[in-house]
Amino acid sequence: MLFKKNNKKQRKVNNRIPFVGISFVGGFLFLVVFGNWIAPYDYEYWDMASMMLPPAWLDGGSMAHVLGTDALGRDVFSRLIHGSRFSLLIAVACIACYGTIGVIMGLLSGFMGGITDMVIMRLCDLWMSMPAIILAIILVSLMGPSALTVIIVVGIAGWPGYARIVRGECLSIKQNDFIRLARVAGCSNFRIMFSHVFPNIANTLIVLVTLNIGQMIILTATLSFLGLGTQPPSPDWGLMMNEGRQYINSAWWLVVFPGVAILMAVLGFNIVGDWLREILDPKQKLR
Amino acid sequence: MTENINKDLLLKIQGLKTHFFTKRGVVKAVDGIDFSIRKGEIVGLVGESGSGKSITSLSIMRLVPKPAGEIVEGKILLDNENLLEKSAEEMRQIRGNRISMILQDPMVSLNQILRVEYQIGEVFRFHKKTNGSLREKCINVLKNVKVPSPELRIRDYPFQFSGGMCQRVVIGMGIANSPELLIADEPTTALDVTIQSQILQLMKRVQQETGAAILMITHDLATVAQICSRVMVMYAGRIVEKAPVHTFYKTPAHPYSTGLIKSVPVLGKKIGRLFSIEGQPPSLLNPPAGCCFASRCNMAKEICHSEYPPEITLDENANHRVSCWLHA
Amino acid sequence: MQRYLLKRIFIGFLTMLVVITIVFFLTRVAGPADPTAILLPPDATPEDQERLRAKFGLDKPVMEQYFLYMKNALQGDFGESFRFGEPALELVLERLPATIQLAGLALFLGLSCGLFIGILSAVYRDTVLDRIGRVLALIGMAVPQFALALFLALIFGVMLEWLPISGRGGISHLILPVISMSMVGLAAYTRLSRSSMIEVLNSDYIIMARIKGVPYYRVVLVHALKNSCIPVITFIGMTFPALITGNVVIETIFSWPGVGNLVMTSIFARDYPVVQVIVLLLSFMVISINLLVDITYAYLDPRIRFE
Ligand SMILES: Nc1ncnc2c1ncn2[C@@H]1O[C@H](COP(=O)(O)OP(=O)(O)O)[C@@H](O)[C@H]1O
Ligand SMILES: [Mg+2]
Repeated sequence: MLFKKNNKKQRKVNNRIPFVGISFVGGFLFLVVFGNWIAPYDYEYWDMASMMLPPAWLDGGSMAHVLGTDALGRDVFSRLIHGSRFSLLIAVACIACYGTIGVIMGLLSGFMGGITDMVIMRLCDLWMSMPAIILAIILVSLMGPSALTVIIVVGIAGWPGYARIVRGECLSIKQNDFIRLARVAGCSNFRIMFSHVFPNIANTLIVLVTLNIGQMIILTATLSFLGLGTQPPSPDWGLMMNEGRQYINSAWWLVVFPGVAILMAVLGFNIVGDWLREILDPKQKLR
Repeated sequence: MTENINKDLLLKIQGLKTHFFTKRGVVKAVDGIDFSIRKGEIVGLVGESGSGKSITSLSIMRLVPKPAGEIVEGKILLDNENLLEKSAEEMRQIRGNRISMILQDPMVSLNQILRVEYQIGEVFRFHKKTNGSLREKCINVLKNVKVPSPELRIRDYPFQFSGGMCQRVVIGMGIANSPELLIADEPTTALDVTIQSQILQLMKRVQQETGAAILMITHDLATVAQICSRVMVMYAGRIVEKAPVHTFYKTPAHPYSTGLIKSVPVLGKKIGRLFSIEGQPPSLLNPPAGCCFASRCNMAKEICHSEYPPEITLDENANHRVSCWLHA
Repeated sequence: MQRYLLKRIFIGFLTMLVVITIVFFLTRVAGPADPTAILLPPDATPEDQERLRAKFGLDKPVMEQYFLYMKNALQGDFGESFRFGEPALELVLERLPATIQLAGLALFLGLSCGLFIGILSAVYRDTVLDRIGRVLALIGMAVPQFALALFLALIFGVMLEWLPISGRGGISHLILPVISMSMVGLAAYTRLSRSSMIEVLNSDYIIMARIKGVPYYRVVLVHALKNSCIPVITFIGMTFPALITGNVVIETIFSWPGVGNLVMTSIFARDYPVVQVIVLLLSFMVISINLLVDITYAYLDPRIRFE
């Protein structure tokens, strides 16, 4: 009885490619690259004659502004498209910044061991207990809000995560014979670090970066939303929502479309990241 | 049919198949095995790791790892009742009560963050056999398996026990309800050599006291020689030979069994080099047609590669059977 | 264990000293402009400004300011708010209950629902329930808190007019802020507890418990739950800073009269004494939460206790 039923049931094999995620990421990257040609208007172009227009399919909307316009008569659709580039650039800059610091710290910590290791790890602990927002607040009060501030804030806030993972990888790789051999063969520590360890952690890093882009898009948008990040007239999605917030009673589209854009982009990167982790990191070192 | 009316018969397995449906394909961990165990006997199940011994035993318990694993075919008859037709609750009442099991690694088969007393107590708590206080019963369990100062140790956590002591605790839990069948899945593999023999002695004593049948899974033929009366050899998800222990050592019939026996160092005898079986065990993912051992067998014939051999009876009372074309 | 805790408390105290020092110098020394410039009316004379600077002690050398500040701080005096002229500490403490109410509820909701869904998902792995749980968790991780807050405010506040979207009052004022603040945590805890539970459910001691004939629900609730909670508990400590960030965002959006709101207005008004107190308070909370996490951890895992 038990097995007859199960025999008939076709077992699904679970190695599907996540088309939803890939298409979101693909669409996002497409906008980043070809945005200038697609967007009907420049992101700074404003037109007082057509301000606060609703999306095209509502009463009073026009096809000239598919997703409506904001209080200055700027085209929401165009600003969203241009905003994709801002979001990705800032996110990537942040990751590049703290990724570099993190990887270097992790390599140093894992390879040198001893006091270096201890100091770096203590620093990590201290750092991780610091809310990003507090760092942002302090730095913004020093430098004033700007995209650069955001990159610096996130850049110096995020490195411990990378450092820990890279350190862990180093420690396990160090046990391998080929590293010992390289040492015997007279390679310097530095040479070993970069030519032997790096290729070994490349997969881990790819997964980590993909998963991080989503988080960074959220964090930078949050800072912009709070007025601590990029400043007008930048078409940053977080900033657009901040500006649209005042009109939430009358112009919902100013809040909803940028929000959905962030959601789709982040969702895409998260799904693709999870997928990559499954194929590149079978041992599930990252969770 | 004759076996079915045999009053001594405890467990009978017919055509059992347990498969894993994984991303890479179907792993046929157990692929059609038949055997039976009589009341109170100790039967050895040997085979190299990955041959499906553990999955066989988990299938008997109906605890095949979900969701990938599934029993797809066969019958498991305990006293002529098919365990595969039991409801989950009926099966739960059988586990730990009529059938019980010991796992390979004692250090991970106990929950490290719960007290030993609680974990032993569970054996009694969920089977309605209440007489005496729970604590006393737990202390008795430890006494029974010779754990020193049981009154104190019962308050400890498993990580405060040594590996051998943990295995004693697990054995104690296994026999606490006097099961009819005890499955011991490599109970000594994870232990030190000196402890190993102590544990084996303990199991033998326990078996004599309770009269339980034991299915002793191992890949160590010395263990089999010490305590088993019959032995079954498993290879790539199938049982290739069944024999009484003395027959098995004297006249092994399957080439794989011969290899196994030759690879055991004999005490006192000086041998130049241990025999070992060449080649890799086959993948259970895409098993070859025919006999799985054919590719490693130096006596393989043509038919060995194309067709799986039938089970052949070698003696008059059908105790020695082999699945091999050489005897057909 | 006790010695370890004492050591942790001592290190925490040192950390706070470091934080307070860094914030002091960053704001007072490297700060961009004189805070008094904002506070005075446009027609104020330089003499007025001097008087104000003297009042706040800003005319003294920096090191002297620092030592004075530290001396007072150790006695519980953190200076007066530039904006309100009230003691900064009182100003912040007044706002604290509102923040604790909001953040505490959000943490509780996220954690309890996340654990519940994650465990169900793991136990009923690969069923429809699990699929739904995973998709929801995936989406929950991808929506920024501020976007969710605005969406909810738009739907339930503006369009349906069911719930208030600003200020603090009865329970109805709590619903939207708490839900929008807890969602990220909920999603993250769901994912974590699911994967941790799956790992635990595959371990030998779970099989062993089932071999003994323990009912499955008991196996899950007694054996698996405690074990799979350990990584989740550590995760609370790790993500607490993110909770604080979320709190600032949500308080700003819903005009919640809490500390997060105060810090945003203070920073734009250059009200440094208040900012300093808040930073100190937050690092205090981070440190104590991590301590609490460690204690819970030791409670759950006897291996730590007996070390
Ligand atoms: N959870 C699982 N998923 C997929 N395959 C499994 C799983 N567990 C066991 N197997 C497969 O079943 C086979 C038999 O395993 P097992 O019974 O543990 O071997 P043994 O106990 O004889 O060493 C192995 O080859 C393994 O690949
Ligand atoms: Mg095994």
